[in-house]
Amino acid sequence: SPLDQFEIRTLFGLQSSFIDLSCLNLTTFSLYTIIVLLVITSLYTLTNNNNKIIGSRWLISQEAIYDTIMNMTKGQIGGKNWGLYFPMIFTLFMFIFIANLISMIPYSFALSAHLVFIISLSIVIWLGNTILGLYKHGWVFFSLFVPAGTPLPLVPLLVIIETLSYFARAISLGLRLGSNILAGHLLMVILAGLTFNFMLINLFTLVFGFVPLAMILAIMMLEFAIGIIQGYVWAILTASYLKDAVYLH
Amino acid sequence: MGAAYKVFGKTVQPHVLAISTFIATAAVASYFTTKPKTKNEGKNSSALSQQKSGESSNSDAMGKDDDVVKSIEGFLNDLEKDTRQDTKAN
Repeated sequence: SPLDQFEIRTLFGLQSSFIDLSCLNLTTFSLYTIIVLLVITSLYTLTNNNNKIIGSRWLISQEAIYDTIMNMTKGQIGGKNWGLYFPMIFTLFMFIFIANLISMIPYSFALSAHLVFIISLSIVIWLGNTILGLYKHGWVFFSLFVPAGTPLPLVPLLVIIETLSYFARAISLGLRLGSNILAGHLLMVILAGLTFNFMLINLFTLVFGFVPLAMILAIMMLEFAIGIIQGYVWAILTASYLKDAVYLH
Repeated sequence: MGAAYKVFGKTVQPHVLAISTFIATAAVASYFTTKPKTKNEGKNSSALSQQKSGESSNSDAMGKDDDVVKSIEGFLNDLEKDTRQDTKAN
């Protein structure tokens, strides 16, 4: 089944007849989380260039990513306190960015395609933003649900609509990323399986099969782009939601 | 954050309007979810339910009447006791 690639398998587990130790299992999910963290720390270590004054070429790539996310955060949140929230946004971006790129390696595992994980993460961010907004503004936080310039008779209706859309953010942030990665990986597996079976028929299909193979290659490039763009979209939306909580529009 | 609104000549902040909307929505929702059966509902429903609601309202009314009668009887008994005690004392 094309969904087999998303199955979480236990690689190493402890067993006891007294207590449930399944929480300590090393699964494909935990393994790839560790791999993502190792790749991120390795990238930062590579920038050091053995403690030389001039960094390595990796430094340029890391600086480019850092600068892109920093400018985006500054543009979205603005004001004096944007720097307070930048580390969180950058960390989230790097995690999703590297997880999405690692998931493009054939026979690897897509962390961000697991809706239970990615929607939990988005709910935590949404909850944190809401608590931050309530902490900073108190009751005035609820003015977020009244868009500026709304005529008085429309206020009750718009408050309900805005509240619903605010609550939907908790799910939509994670669902957007999860469904994009899930759909992309499914599409690649299905198309590759079809092309592989097609090419196995005879010599003619083996030669002619390079046409759909080229299309799959193009889709793979598209999936790389989607992986990067969705990481950026996650970061930009997190910054936007933070701006709402901090400045109330 | 939007500007303040004028409601019946009074200045109202947007967050007050938002909170008022929440309270009103919650009140309406709770009214329709935990609404007690009224006489009108009994009339609108079938004849059987109408009869039942009529019976229940009658029984309720009878119960209330019983309470009033009991309290009056108790009051009269107390009054009689007091008068007896007064006559004995005299």
